[in-house]
Amino acid sequence: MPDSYDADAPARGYEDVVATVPVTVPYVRRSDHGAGWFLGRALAGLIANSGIAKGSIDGLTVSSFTLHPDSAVSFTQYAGISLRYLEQISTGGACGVMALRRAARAVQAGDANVVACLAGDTANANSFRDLIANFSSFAHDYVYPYGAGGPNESFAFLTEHYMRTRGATREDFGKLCIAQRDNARLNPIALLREPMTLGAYLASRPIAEPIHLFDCVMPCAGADAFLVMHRWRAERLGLPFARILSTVERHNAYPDDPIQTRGGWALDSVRLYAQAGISPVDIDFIETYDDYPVISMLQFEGLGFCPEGGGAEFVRQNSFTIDGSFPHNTSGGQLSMGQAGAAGGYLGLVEAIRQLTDSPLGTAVVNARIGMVSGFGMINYDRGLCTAAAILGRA
Amino acid sequence: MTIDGPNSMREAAASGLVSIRRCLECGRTHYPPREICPFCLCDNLGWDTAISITGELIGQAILSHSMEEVFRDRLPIRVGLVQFDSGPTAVVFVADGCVAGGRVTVGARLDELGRPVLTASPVGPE
Repeated sequence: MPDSYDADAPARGYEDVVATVPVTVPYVRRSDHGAGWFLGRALAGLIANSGIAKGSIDGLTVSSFTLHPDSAVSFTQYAGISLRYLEQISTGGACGVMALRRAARAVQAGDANVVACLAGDTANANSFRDLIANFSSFAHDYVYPYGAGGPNESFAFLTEHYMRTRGATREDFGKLCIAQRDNARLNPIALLREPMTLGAYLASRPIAEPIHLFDCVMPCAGADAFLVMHRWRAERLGLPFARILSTVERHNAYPDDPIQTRGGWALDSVRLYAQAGISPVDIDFIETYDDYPVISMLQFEGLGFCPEGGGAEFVRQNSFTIDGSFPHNTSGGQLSMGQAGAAGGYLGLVEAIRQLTDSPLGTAVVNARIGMVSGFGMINYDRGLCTAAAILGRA
Repeated sequence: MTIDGPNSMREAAASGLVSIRRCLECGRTHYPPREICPFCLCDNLGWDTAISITGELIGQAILSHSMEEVFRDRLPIRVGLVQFDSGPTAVVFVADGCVAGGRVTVGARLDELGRPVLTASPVGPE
């Protein structure tokens, strides 16, 4: 029985379920295909790479912005797949970890045997504008009329506040961006993989000052996917897998903070490490949600790698390359690969599974045994509302 | 100053007034306006209406890029996030002379498309 009426009950572990078969439908700057094509090709990749028959996949999670007016339900008919478990997860940059959590519980509970987790979006000349203009009712009526700057504008407010109150500089942000570009160098499907210098970063044109061009992810089309199943099933099929050590999620944390200086991770990191039975020093690499470098700093803080407000100092004390002191966004992250809509919420998770199964897109982190994945999503009005994190381990 | 009259931000802005939702049960204000109070969830809501509302400019940006044609020939555009003294925060246009982290006074108008929009101006010498 919990200590008090409001105490959280201890969460059940995930010892008997695993994440496996990371798939990426290569990102492209623009596409004439619809979201259904990207999700469908991701599903085909899961089937091809697992050897599991289409009819044996009995659970599905779908995340997509451009699938509208279709839905996860529509997609079952579009792709001709019959299921006994279905989730549409609309938490943007946090959707990967949240899909993992839901799928793992569905498998543990016996509601599904094999859950395919899919995220993908198309991109064309108008899709990004349409998405941003109608992202939410608050965004449409109370943000977009103010210059229609999109997410750059909202994140610029947070970045300006963070720089002014926490002492972070553009050089600090640039260090993260440059390290990620370096990590993308050997990733053949990264859209941006030529080296970036600090001079080029600082000289990039202003978009929504203090945010400049190289702080921003490039919208693109693509999809990412993975499977969740019982460990015994993955072993029987001979599929390399990552163990799930712990997961957390949070929505609309700290609603009384006037501007976002922290995310929900800070409320959940103790539970996250406790469930995994490890501490921050045990993490061999981390995949953060890097829509803007300031958000990566908030994740370092909230996930216990440095004190709140200490993100800039932490950046100055570490190197973030794959062979550095704190390997970070080892595929190059969204800043190098592009942001394929909701797939941006999966990119870090599939990369973590790949690192832990010796199949990275680019360079491997040497001796990587434990990886962390963090998600951040949905600027409904003035801040990202959804946060999530998972710790994965080598089999 | 609180006056009776407007039934929406748009109606108030047409008269050059700012309107912020206030809950008539718990007394707290919120923004953007909702049909329920986000604190006590009741739907008994009124409007605080004034010529301007004071607050602090807690974040700002200078836009050099816009997704809408209507803004492109006016770039750069200065925008920001203001926390009203009563608590809520609002995205605003920012007039010359405002300082990030400084005091501002926020007024309302209708834009070219008839939408109510807020603008922060420096607090004048008292």
